[in-house]
Amino acid sequence: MLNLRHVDDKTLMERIRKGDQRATGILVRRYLEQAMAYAGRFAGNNPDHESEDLVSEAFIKTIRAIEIGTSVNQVFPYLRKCIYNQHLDDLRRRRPPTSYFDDLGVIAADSYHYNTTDDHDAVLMELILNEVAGMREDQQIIFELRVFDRRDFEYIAREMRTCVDTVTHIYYNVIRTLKNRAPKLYDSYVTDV
Amino acid sequence: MSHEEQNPEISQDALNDYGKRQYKNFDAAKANIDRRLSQRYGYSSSGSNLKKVLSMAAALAMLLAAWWCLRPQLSGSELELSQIIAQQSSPLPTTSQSAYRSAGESQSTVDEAIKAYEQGDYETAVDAFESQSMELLNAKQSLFFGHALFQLKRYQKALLALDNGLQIADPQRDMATDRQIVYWTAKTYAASGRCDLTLRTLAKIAPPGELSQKLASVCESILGQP
Repeated sequence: MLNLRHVDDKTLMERIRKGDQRATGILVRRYLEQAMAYAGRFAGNNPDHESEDLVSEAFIKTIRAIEIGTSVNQVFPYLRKCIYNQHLDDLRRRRPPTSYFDDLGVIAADSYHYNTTDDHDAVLMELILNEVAGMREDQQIIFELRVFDRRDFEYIAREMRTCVDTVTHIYYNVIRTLKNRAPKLYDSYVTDV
Repeated sequence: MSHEEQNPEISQDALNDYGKRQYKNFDAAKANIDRRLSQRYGYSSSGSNLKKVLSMAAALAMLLAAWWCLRPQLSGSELELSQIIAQQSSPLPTTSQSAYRSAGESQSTVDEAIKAYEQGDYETAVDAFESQSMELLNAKQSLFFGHALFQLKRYQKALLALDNGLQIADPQRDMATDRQIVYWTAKTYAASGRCDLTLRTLAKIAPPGELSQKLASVCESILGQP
């Protein structure tokens, strides 16, 4: 019997497509810890419970994609995307009122200028989340900890085991990028609609 | 480069560590996800418990097999292994006077411990033994202390006490006591699910000759070294 522990992801995916349950188990165990570490960064107040759902769902989606033959080139990036997309949905549900975005006041003011929808906050949130989703992971985490969880820079720096200056710098880089992009983002949204 | 153009970055390792630290119990959450997915996809779960149970079963099986093989050679010893096994929950006989220290300040404490041990009151015995420095106990007393701890399922401490019995310089030590200490050390390893150490320890009390060689070869095949 072939020892699946040492085979590459491509072979594992082929075997999963053929219905090999053992290959599914090997794939899950290969990426479970990494996926949990990734999901842990975004989990809320009850990480154990929330992350269990997040990671399980992501694995189910990934395995389903492999089974039905969707092009999954690399397993972990696909898994990570599933986790992050699910996390974005959670953020949309959690969305704080616009007044919470102290540092994003300019974006709010700019986009109010174009306000043509009933739910202005939802549009603004969507624009910001989409933009942040394309940023580096450390930028995403620092932005979310600061804006959604209202954490101070000292706390974030302690958690990330880095200095306050680094965290402050990364955060204000994100804010500057968002402010620069806000009018364009809103324009493209209005055009699309 | 101006201050604004700088673009510091936090390493992936730091982010991963941060993610793992967010869990109250990372291993339990991992086991839960694995169990959930294994139920859905029908693969066998990682089974750390299963491994433990299997290793304990293997250790007990080896222990019984070794006892069965060693029985004829050990029949002449002061206390047969079969007796020890039959008396798992009762105290070992304390007939030897060497169990009692003849003089010194610690005499009363050790006497108390031995008396409690004879009556099967292991908790009192252990308390009394623990109030005494382990270095002051002789081989026999260490055996009783280790056995009492074994009965209370305090395996780590039991191993320390039994090891003390083997290491301590005791002019009154005899072969039978040493053999019992080694036997109970093996049993303690077996109870803690340490199949490899059980085998290694049992190999020490196998008499020289064919049996010892067989046991050593079994150890070698399982552990890679005798």
